[in-house]
Amino acid sequence: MSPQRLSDRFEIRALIVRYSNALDARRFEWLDEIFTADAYIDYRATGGIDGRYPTIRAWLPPAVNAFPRMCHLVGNISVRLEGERAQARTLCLNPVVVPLPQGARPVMFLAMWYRDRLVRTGAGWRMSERIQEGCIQHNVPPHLQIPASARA
Amino acid sequence: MMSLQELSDRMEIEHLIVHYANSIDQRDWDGLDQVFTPDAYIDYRKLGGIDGRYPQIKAWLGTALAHFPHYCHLVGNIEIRLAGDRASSRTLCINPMDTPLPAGGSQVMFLGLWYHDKFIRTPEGWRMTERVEEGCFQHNVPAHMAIPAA
Repeated sequence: MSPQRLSDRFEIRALIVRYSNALDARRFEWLDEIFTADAYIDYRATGGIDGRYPTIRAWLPPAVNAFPRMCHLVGNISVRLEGERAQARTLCLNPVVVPLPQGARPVMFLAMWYRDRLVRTGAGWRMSERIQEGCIQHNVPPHLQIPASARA
Repeated sequence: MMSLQELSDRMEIEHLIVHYANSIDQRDWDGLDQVFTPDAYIDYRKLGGIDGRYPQIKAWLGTALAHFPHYCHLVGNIEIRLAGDRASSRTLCINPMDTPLPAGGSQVMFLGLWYHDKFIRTPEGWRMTERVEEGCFQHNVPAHMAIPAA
């Protein structure tokens, strides 16, 4: 691997991790340096919405803040470089603490893949598309169940 | 583009974070001497542990973890900020712990936490000067285990 390709892979991996940290630390402003301004994002496989980045940027804070704690552990990052563009597939294990009306705080476990498209910009690599593909759902309270048909 | 020096620094620091997890999981306490500076500050209080300087923490770990027959520390999401001969990082850890029950048998609890670390470049390579835990989630914790809410 050339130093350029090594650097590209490191930068893209860092971008994917940075996304997890932006959500988990509730630093939503970090997302402005992860996505392109017109990126397409599709969260429907885990019960969310799809749309362009400005729509998603406004939708995310209340959607995430409904849960007191969560984390998005990413792994299996497989990057395909194509010059100024790239594609990646990443597995994400996502435990979420769910506040129930009676005060209990069970943890539900979701898993999904991210299918990403990336582009090299003057400011570094950015994500231009992120599509979720659903995998497992464990210990999900009834009011948060996601229909199986929405997961793929 | 990242320089080869930066790529090397990032790989060395990632290796250090993994080496910590492997030393703990293999109960190789002396392996931690290659991770921490002698005066490193470590804070495990958010998950029910202690805080202090490395020699105190090293002595405490063997006793505290002897209680658990099996456990592992899977680390990921390592985000590193380099600043010359210093660095800091945030790492996610998923930590399943096999916990003996008072009435016999055991139960696996799953803990999620972040490590907030600081590093310094020494002649022997990068070393950790600070590790502070932040709790995320606790799942399937036996009733008799008192861990403060994350």
